[in-house]
Amino acid sequence: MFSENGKISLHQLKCLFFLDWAGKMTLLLPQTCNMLQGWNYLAAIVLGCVWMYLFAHVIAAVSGQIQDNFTNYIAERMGKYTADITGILFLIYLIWNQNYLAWMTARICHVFLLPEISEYLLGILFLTAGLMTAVPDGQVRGRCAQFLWIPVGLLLSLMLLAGARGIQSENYLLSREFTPIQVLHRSGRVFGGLMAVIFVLYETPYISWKDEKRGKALRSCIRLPVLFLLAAFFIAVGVFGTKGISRLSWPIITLMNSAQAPGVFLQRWDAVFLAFLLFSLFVAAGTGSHYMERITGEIFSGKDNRRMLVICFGISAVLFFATGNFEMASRMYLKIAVCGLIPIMVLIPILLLIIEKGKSRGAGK
Amino acid sequence: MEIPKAESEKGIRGSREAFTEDLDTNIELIKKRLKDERLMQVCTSLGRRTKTKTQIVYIEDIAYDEIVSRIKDRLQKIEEQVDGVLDSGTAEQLIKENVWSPFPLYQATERPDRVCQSLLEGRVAVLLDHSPEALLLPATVDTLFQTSDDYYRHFEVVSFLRIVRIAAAFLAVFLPGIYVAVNCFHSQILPTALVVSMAEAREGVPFPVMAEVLFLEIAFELIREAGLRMPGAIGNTIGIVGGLIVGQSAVSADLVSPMTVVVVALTALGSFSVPNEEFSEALRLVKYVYIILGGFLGIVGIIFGAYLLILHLASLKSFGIPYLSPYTGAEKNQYFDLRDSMVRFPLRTLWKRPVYARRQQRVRMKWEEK
Repeated sequence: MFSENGKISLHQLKCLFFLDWAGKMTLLLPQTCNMLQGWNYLAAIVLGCVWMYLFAHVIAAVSGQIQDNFTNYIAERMGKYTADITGILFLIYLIWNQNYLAWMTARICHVFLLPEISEYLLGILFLTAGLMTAVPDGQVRGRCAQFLWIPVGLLLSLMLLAGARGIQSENYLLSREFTPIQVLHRSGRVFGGLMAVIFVLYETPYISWKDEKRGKALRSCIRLPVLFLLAAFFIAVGVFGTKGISRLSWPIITLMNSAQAPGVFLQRWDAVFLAFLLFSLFVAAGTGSHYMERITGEIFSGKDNRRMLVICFGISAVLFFATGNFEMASRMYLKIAVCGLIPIMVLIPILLLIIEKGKSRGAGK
Repeated sequence: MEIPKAESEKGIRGSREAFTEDLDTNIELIKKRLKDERLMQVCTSLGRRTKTKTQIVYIEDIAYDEIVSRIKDRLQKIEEQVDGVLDSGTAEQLIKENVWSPFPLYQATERPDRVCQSLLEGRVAVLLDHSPEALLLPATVDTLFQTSDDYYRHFEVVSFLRIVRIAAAFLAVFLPGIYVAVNCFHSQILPTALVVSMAEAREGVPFPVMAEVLFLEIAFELIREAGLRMPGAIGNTIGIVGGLIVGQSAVSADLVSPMTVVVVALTALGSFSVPNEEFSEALRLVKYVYIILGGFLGIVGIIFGAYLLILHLASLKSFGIPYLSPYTGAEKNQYFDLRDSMVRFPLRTLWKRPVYARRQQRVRMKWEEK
């Protein structure tokens, strides 16, 4: 039966990307670009998305070569040690990412919804949601995302449109001062935030690619989530201006707060928005744990996957307590994951693609 | 044998007939409506000691082979290994895939016309002797929100009613939890006037709002249970009088606030509006988890619980068909199944059978195909 082939459809992959990014990136992007203003701000975001789009092409090309799984594929091309080290690098990134997301969720829940409840408890709740999502097979995750993405996407879009009523046209008259180095630097950070696309390499054997060209298929999966992000920021710039955004900690939530509906039934629409955004944050938590399970399963084949996942959860939890607060988690994530790990992670598929091209040229001669 | 009227699945239009306790009569009721020579009946007996006569009914060229063989295998397992099977309720629990889930992975029906509709869609019916209900397999969340007269009435009305039923299920599960969460943690999301009137209504109530809601919900379950066990007319009286008296007295005695009574009454109405009794019972059970989560973690707890519930429902399968179908996996049948889900399109446009029908026999209205 189709429900038991262990594979997710391309549509489900799109839903997973959408939910993963809708929550994480709408909150994260303003911070990655908060030093920039005017056209620089928008340029950094658009350029980051373009990098990711191009990188998706590399990922699709490499995934087309994977026969068994990604770890075995690297082992064949670059040796077993490289495969294991790559897996461990990805795992470390996932743990830091999970820690950062846990702190971000804890902080926004604490500030906007539950000031009475400790951030530690909220963060652990987030990590637990991730752990529980990873336990069922990948298809369950796909189905869950497919079920959630329409209500969540629809509501978030409606809320954005409601917030768009506050757009002031003069906010789009952005300053023309252009600092390409800064834009390039920040676009790298935006690209780092959209790194989920690289994990398609580990997911490849569990995706029902059908006969479509992989590059086209993957690009079609990420198109809608990226457009949603761009629309959200275009509206936010229109409402607050780039200067205003850089002064706000969570501009998209503030944007929701400014949404008005006829009547006075609800005073704070941002609470409704956040509630729905939490679904996508939980999906992001599940995505992190799912890849942790998959990677540990490939590196430590023969060991109990679930036990390995619980160990990863334990490490994430210890890291969460050790980090102590959101600001520290944010700094560490930037230093270790974005500046340290992501460049190496990006390099691996590019190297693999070069090796593959070299091989095919050699075979041609 | 006299054919009884449908009691638990009353409809506005369509046949009033219901299944009897005699298997042969029940099969005749199906055959009376479905005169297809490809209607298959596989006879078996369940229970080592009871040897309850059982028939698996399906239309040979429409039902998916794999689903039929899975059902046969599952029933074969309980043919000899179980002491006795006295009702379809026992059989359904024994053949269920996920025994720990409170959600029904089958659809029990007492209406022969419902069975015939399902057989034409490619589903399989299991009928047991001495049991006035047939089991329809596979079942999805969507089928549990549908009634047989959904196909006898205009699509606009039916679509509206289906949305009402889904909203009712939402109320049945989440309303008390959200009420508790808003009262305990998020009163600022409501307008000041409403918050003030809610606080005034709760003045004098000595319990925390979570205990108050739990108390009234359990009182309501007591009334419901007592009403069920009493004979006919007395049962109904107990339900109405008990509900009114307990509610009124609890408010007068400052045990609960009037707003809580309204919330619990709406929740009860919501749970009764779900057409499938087993599904409604599962929702009623889950509701308590949300009351507790709402009381301790506010709206974050409710969303956390809702996420886990969706995850659980996504993990369920009824004989290989995802329980959340067609809201998940609709692409497998080119999204046609969504035409008969939350809303129902005009009958003429429903020319394709659902995903659980055999692939070669998906077209059911050839003239519309053009």
